Amino acid sequence: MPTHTLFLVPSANHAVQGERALQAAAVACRLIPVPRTLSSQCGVCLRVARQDGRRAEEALAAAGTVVEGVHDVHMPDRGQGGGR
Amino acid sequence: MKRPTIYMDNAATSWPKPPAMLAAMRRSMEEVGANPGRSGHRPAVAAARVVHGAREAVAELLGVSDPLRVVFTANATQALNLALRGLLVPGDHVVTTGMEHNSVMRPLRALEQEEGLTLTVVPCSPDGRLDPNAVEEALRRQTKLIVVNHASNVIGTVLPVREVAGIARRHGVLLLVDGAQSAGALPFSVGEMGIDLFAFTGHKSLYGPTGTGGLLIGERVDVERFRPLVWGGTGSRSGSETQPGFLPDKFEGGTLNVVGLAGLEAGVRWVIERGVEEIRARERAMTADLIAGLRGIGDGGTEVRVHGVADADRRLPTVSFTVAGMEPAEVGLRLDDEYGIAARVGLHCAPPAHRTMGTYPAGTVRLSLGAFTTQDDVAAAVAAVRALAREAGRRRDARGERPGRDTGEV
Repeated sequence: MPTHTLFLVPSANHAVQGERALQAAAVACRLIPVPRTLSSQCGVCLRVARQDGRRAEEALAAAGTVVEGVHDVHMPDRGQGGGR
Repeated sequence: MKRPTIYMDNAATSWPKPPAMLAAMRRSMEEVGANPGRSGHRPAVAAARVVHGAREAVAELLGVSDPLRVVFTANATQALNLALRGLLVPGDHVVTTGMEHNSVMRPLRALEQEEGLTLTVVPCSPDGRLDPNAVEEALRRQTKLIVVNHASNVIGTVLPVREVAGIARRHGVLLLVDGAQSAGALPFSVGEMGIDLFAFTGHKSLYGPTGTGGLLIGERVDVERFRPLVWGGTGSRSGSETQPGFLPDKFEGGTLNVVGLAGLEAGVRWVIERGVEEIRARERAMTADLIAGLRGIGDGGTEVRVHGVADADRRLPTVSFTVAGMEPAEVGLRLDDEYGIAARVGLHCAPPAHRTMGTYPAGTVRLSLGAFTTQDDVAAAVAAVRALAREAGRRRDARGERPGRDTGEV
């Protein structure tokens, strides 16, 4: 059962820009390393709680954030939460 | 090193800096420390936020809607080289002006000699003014780029960038502006003025540290055909041995000056908080007083000649002058030694400007005010120059170069 939605972006620069957009939309998020199963391109991606996925997608689109992929994943929450 | 009593070399670099800028740099080194975009751990993410914060601040101040179009470099010179070497190809024609700094002229001359670039330098008036019509008349079918200094680092004259931007757009030519002196010193918006490429430095009127600067890249620029100056690791597309093609990563190979950018953001926020207009109003008033004070020395201003436009509204707080009978080098040395005033003398890395002004090769003495300059500083500078001018006058009288002059104190 997916627990989080990951948004893949071109670079850390884009990730921070996306983070700003999500914060402005009051969507809790965290920047995490891109899982190798999703991409070999290193860097960070934006992680939000699964239930916030649609709101996050809308907020990122509204802000013009370049998103290269959206993935619903199961990721055990080890106390870090969806946000920072 | 003994601290100069009166620092008037802000066109070289601004000093002192706002305490918040210093604190931001310290905080960055003590609390962040990681390499942005190179790892996914929280310290690296924090470092990436520092860099993005600087992009956002610069974008906000300079009127750019997308912070990712702010490409960071080590300084304005590197930004200008990036634009010139990245966009121009053999056979291209470039139009520039007679008031440019060597950070523009040297790469252009190198491209002219080594890569088949053709160059037209549009003359300016001796007080640094540019006629936009002359720029338009210089355009050719092969013209790819117009390069203009927003404001002279020698005499502070502000050039008509808005008008030149309109000309560039009408003719389908790109405009590169050297904003090393203007960013933070003049109220304007790069986006609203229609400037395609804007080079800035962080350590002058943006009140950041040395080692920071950048290039704003507008939407008319074809990023795909824009070659980087440096290829290398970006922390993105790491599986590829090819440089990423997107902004800003394409032009930011290698680790950025994170601690410097922390300082740059703080400096820019300091300027935004105070308001460019407010800083400028204060500097403009002091510049007017300085010019009037220098012009009033001696016989109707003949003892000290102030170069550039008289109207403080049409210039930056950068004033170049010469003292009759005393070389600029001596004036500068004595201002420093005897009066504790830090001024820059010589050609200011802008020989074309001095040729335009008629002060080549001896150069001038330059006093450049900043946000921390005081009215007392200006008064002290005028008094010091007056004393030196009087001595120069006595020397000239002794040599018989001023027949009939009273050699006593005025």
